[in-house]
Amino acid sequence: MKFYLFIIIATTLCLNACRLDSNLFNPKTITEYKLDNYDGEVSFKIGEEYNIADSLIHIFTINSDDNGNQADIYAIYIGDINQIATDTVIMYCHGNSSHMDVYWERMKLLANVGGKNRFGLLAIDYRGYGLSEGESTESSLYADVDAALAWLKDQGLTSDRLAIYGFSLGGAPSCELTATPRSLAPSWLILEAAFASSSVMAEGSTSLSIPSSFLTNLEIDNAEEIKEIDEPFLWFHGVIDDFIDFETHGEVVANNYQGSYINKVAVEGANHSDLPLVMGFETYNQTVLEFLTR
Amino acid sequence: MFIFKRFLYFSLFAVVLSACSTTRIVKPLAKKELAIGLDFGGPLFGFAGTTIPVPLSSLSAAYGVDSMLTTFGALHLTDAAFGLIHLEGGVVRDLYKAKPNIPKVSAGGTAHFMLDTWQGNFRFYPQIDLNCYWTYGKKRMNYVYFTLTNWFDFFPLAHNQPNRKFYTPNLALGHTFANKHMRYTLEMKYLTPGSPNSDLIPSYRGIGGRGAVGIYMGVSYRFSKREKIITPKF
Repeated sequence: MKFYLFIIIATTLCLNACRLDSNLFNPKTITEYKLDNYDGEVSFKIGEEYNIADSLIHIFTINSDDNGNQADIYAIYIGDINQIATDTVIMYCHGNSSHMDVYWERMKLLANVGGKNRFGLLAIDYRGYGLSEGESTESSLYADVDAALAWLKDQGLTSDRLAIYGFSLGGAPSCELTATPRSLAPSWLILEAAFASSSVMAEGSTSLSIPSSFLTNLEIDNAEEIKEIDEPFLWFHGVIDDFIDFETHGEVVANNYQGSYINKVAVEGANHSDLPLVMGFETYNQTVLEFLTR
Repeated sequence: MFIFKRFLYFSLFAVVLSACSTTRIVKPLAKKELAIGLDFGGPLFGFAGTTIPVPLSSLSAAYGVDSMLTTFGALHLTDAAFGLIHLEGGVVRDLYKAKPNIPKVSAGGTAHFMLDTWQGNFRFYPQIDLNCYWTYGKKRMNYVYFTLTNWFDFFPLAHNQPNRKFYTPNLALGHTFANKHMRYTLEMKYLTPGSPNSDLIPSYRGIGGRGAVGIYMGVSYRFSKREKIITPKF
């Protein structure tokens, strides 16, 4: 019996090389950011009335240090950098696809919350995305966003004027850095179509209750981290989200929140990527504005 | 859903590793017969402009307790590549004796044990199969079969969410060609019929947008007991 057990364990350990961690990320490299001129596929287009003056669009690099693994990542700040010391800023953490060009319409929309450029907005491309160098991992995801927050801090931003917004995959660094702050502690948390955890992802794609550790070493767990967050929370989720399920992912996160204030916005008819469109851009922006100014 | 194309490969492998087993014994072995087999295959999905099966694989062994009852066990090799010790063991038994030209029905019970080597998480999934097979050929060693496979899952879901999918059915249609020592099996499965597959990428090849069709192959070597040779007397 011991012999057979040894064979089984030895076989498993010898073959033990495959994990699906890197499949969480879907980066695409580019040669330049095209922003308004980007002609690739996007979830929706907003009108010209949301356009941003070129003088208020700043593209630059930030050095990110993930436990000694350094990388220069690209960031876009929409707004007047000189006013960061007094402005309220939204840190936008995008989803798992491609690069910031794909999310440019979303970024512009948020830069119009409460009027054009009332709030500053910072977004980054995680390692391996767009022009950012390196390769993303779960820990580098948090390191990259924290590097962006450290940059904001260097410009004079304080935690009481920082909101963090996570869309889909971006929900992971948003929850992580709100629950366990590093350079700055966000004072508002906004999640759109965020997943509950890697465990729910594993379960959702099967008919079985398999733990995520069967497939991946990812430990993303927004559903548990949200319990540690007391900051005001704005939750968006499309009711017909066919990728990050409304009930098993979205509602679990919302219902686990035990903090000071939550606004749950369940959008009928909205799928994963089109929530602002289905909700209506003005209604969406007004909801964000009311949350940040209540 | 272009945004999440690669992300959903996660879904693919999750389905593969947990829900789809390779071919199994539907016709009990002869008494004291031992068989060692290698199975390969999985649900079909679109990949690089073509359709291929997911490369599931397992190494199995079976032993005929008597002419109607066979025990078997398997180690899932693809799962092992993910650091997951996935063992299964079970029995299959003919439900009745019948003349060779009459289709037979067998039932099987299988226990799946899964233990990951990363965090030590464990799962146990029972499985109950109902098989109908019909032998043909000179020595009636070849057979075609139809199987209804039922997976059961009684574990709670993450974050204390209720588990409403405790039962997963799969259908299989297969053919086994056998000679004295070898068995070659080709099987087609229809996995989780009724479940929409449009949300999954890469796209599974289902039927009417539901479930996933899988192709499986198995080869086994039988260590038969010595057969008594009857020499006709004149």
